[in-house]
Amino acid sequence: MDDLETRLKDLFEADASRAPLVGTAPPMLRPRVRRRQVRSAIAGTTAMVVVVGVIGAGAWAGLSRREVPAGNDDPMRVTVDRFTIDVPSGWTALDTSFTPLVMATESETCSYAAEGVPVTGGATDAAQEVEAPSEERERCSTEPIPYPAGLPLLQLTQRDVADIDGTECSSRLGEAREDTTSNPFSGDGSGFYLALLPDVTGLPAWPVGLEHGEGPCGEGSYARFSVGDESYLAFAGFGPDVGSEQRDALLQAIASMDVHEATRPDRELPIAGPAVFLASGELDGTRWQISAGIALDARMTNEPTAWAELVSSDGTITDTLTVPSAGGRPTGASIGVDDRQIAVALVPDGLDAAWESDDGTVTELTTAAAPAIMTLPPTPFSGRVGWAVAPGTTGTLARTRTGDEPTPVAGPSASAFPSPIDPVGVVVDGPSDVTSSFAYWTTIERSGDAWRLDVHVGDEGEVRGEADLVWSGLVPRSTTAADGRSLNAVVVDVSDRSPGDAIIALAFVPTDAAELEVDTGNSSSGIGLAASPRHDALRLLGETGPVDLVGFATSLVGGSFGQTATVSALGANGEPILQTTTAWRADR
Amino acid sequence: MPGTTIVVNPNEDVGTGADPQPGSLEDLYLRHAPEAVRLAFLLTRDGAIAEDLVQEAFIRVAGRFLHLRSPQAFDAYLRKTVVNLCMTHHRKRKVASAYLDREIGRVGRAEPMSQTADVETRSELRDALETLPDRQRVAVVLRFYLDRSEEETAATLGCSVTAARSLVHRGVQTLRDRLRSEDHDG
Repeated sequence: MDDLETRLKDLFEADASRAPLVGTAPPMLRPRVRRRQVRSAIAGTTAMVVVVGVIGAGAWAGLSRREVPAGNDDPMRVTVDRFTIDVPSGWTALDTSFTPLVMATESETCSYAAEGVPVTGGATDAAQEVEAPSEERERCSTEPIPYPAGLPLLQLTQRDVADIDGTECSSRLGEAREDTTSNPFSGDGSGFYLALLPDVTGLPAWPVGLEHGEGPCGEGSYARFSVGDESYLAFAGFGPDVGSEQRDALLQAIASMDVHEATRPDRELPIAGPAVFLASGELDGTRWQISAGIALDARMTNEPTAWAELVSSDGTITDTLTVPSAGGRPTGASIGVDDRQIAVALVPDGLDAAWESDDGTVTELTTAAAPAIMTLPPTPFSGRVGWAVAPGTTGTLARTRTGDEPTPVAGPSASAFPSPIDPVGVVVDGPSDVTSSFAYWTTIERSGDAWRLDVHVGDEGEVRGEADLVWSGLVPRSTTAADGRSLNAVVVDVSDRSPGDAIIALAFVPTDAAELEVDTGNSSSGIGLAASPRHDALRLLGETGPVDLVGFATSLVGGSFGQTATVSALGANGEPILQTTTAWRADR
Repeated sequence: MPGTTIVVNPNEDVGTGADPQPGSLEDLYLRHAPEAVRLAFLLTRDGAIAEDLVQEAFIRVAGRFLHLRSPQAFDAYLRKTVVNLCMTHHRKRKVASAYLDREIGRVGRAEPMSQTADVETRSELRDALETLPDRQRVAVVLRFYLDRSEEETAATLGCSVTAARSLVHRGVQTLRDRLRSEDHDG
């Protein structure tokens, strides 16, 4: 250390000694942290809503999907979290380390008693205030949500990946298969699954060998081990017709796995589903990798985006790419190292083919040429979206097919609904029996002061009604149905406390309900914990008749946020008479 | 992902003087706030602002990361957040300063008066530090006050190790040139 550096150090230490002394935490710190936690958890549920919606949409609509075709032509070596593994030619590596971010790890249930005053149904601008329940009348309890199959991190697969919730272990994230004793793979199917086991301790340290047996993923080869202070589950399965070459390829890949004690540096994580590894390589001795996936638009436009990430093992190469939605138009951009550029594009569903334009030369992207093309089923936010990843230098995808000729796609603006708004066709077929379970989700869009809400009502996965409701200035304007079971909505405006905030939740509730229970525990930032609704603002807009609609409010501030709420109504004797689940998201 | 849990119980009392529970917000505050305030103070030169920024940093970090992989992660996140908030504070101050300069220019610029006296009381080195770009100053403070490694400095600043090394080098070189120049002028 030279003289100047010594002087600097002395100066800093002298100045630092003049810094204020810190004692105990200021009293206001804890409630502010608590509020931030709730907001953080709520923001985390935005992605949860996607998952819920996608699953529901897939089941309801039964739409055809293009999928991530299995297999990359080139072998790769990729790193996820603490694990670096070879990806054999013909296999697809999935980075599912983002997925746990949308998995709740705890569920908090709060119940309270409240008395609402139903208002007359029909179009109205009136919303009646309902006394907010006091905290003293609220009871909350928290339960951990077990995940016997762990929180998925990394998978090697040879199947086409169509669902973002399915894994090589089971069809539901984190959950064990219903049949844990039989081989989950048929024919020549095989796969590898690696997951974090939260709250598990006492496992032997890596390396450990795979042992054949039964488990949450069914019959196969398992290893449970610890690295540092965290525990992991590895599973490899082989169908009965898997040949020795295929088996050896996967086993060699598993044997190639390096485990690092130190975790990768934390990144700004997109709210995203699984990412597909597209390429890896070395530059000046530094290994890099590119992965891509679908994320929600961080700019809060209610639109999914395509995103891609380029990272190197030493952190010296790093780049991210976000391709925002452009309405009905495909958009794309490229990312890569030197001449290894990969185009990542967001392709709206409905296109028959994606085309790459390179200086006026149009080339059709075929499945064979594209490492990954995937069209997801509808999201609850913006309809069907898809994405395609294709090698190229320009990264421009902007063509669809009409007959044999590529034709430019002229997509409408994503937010092209009229403003000011008149009610847009309310088509509601409410539940025929309010005592049965039903579920619906909502799409919230905002254009200026206008809000638009799409509601789908269903029962056991079957769509039974839809509504397209529009408000202006956060005042409900359209709520009627002729059959006396109008679908209604609640918009809670807390802008007096935090400008622009709005909370929306929906529920049909029998008017004779004596008690309502709200579970907003389906929230997570990857880090667990549930939002705790305080119901600090509540407005009821409903109708007289068999059902009323009740809204529940949680305090929200800024940004893009979402929530799922399960509402249970109890009769006078405490008997359950209704349970609904609402997934909602609001943007500002 | 689950790891160390920061438990924030809204019913838990704060500041009662009782020994905080390990892992509680109070415990984290006691362990990490003093160093964070000193860092913020070096970067802002204002004790009240430093305390405010550290409090905001705590709210952001503890509020966002309900579970952390390790206590070290909390320290790193907090340090990074403090640095970011300090740099944001500087940017806002510059905007406000520019606005004030413009407004003062309209009504007639006042004499620099106390500012001159204030500057005169500062050491040459402190003056020279003030002239450094924000990121260079932060890099120098991290390196020579907190004794952070190049890797840690890079992580806090969100840049590569090479860039962090360069920031420190250029910062020190600028200080050296500045002091040499002042010695020459003086």
